[in-house]
Amino acid sequence: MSAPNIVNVATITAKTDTLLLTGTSAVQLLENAASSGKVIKVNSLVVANVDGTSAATITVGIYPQDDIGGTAVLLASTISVPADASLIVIDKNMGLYLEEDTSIGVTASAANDLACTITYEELS
Amino acid sequence: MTRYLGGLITADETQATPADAYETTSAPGVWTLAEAAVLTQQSKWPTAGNTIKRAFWFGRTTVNVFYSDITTLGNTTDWGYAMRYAAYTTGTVSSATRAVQCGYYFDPAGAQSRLIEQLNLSSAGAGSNFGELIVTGAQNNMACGNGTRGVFTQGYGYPFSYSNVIEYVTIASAGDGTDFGDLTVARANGSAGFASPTRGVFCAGTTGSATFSNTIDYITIASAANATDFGDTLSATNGTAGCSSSTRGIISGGDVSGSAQTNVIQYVTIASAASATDFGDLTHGIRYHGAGCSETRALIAGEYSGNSGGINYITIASTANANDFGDLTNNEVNGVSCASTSHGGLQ
Repeated sequence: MSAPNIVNVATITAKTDTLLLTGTSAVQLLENAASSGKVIKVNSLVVANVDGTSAATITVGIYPQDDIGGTAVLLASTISVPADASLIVIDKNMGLYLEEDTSIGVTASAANDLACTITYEELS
Repeated sequence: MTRYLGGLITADETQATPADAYETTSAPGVWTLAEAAVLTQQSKWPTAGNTIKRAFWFGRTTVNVFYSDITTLGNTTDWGYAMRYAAYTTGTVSSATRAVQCGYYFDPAGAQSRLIEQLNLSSAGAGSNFGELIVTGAQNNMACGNGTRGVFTQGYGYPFSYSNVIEYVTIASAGDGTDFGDLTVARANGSAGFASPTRGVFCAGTTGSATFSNTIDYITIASAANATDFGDTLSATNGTAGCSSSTRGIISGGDVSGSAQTNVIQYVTIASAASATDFGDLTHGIRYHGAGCSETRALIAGEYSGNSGGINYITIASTANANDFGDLTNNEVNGVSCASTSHGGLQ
């Protein structure tokens, strides 16, 4: 299938995913699988530092394949998130679409310090 | 109602924006990238890895702990209380936020000699229990560590023997010591331990009654294994202190075998395995003392038996004589052990 023409979509499914970054390697936050027949409109990405003491950095990349395959183009690189603070990396004004066979990956500088919440709409 | 950066609504207006760019600075709220950028430009955005550069001085016959801001010349400031005296040269390791210490002077029954204790370096207060060593006693020991793991030698073991035992702890998790391996030479009273993020180095010490050592040996901190010979100090010495950047280790002062306390500063390149080289001189001879540092500056101070010389400082990357930094509070007893929040093992 091919990605839909968003002028005439049949289904819009609103979703929210959360992910605690338990390691310091890149992990997949959201993917649009190859031939999904969907396009994903990302509305927001909030990164919360759940550690009460130390800042940690977040890196957010868009990967050219699903399952964070290939080399990412970074949307945010090693941005510091203070202790007990939240950082809005993507908001609705950015209008970010995730096409088929692409994905969003995130990398933290410290394990178990950062939690990501991403809200999006699947259009098909 | 005033709207603060980050849309923060708070009863404590002093918390509305962060005060500086240190990693542990408070910045509660929900922030946009644009707001983070503005605060970063103002050097106020809390930055991961940017820790406060402090050296904490522990005392020989007092539990009072004082600190120096390594970047700013001046006298020490009161911080809090350790649980026990640091005695001669208690081994101390530290992360950016926590000091862990062991090797307290034996009481007659040796009951304190297994204790490992901790002190919060990001919030002033009192020390607390961390765990216990495996060995039945430790005194005048050496220590080194990176931000994750602290490694201690046993030093002068109980009952009364020079030990080659090395143990380690995980600094972030209170718990008992675990066997690490052995030193190449059993010894105590050296106190010069320092580390890069991967390699720990132990220098000099006492191997027997009035018998001093020039041995330097090293370990790989992440791998529990026996130490390997690194090289030699300039002379057989005890009562030294050590600190380091991530690349260069500093060995200061001490008692030279057959002579008096020395003002000599030596250095080694941690990544190599080669003997020490002369760095320069302290402003005064010093022994059984402490040393703390940032990546660029080392502070050296204290004295087992009384010393009015105050705190010396050096620029680690140079080779030059030390200069006066300020004074320890209660100089005669403070400074026999030191922890710092930004030493070379944390880089």
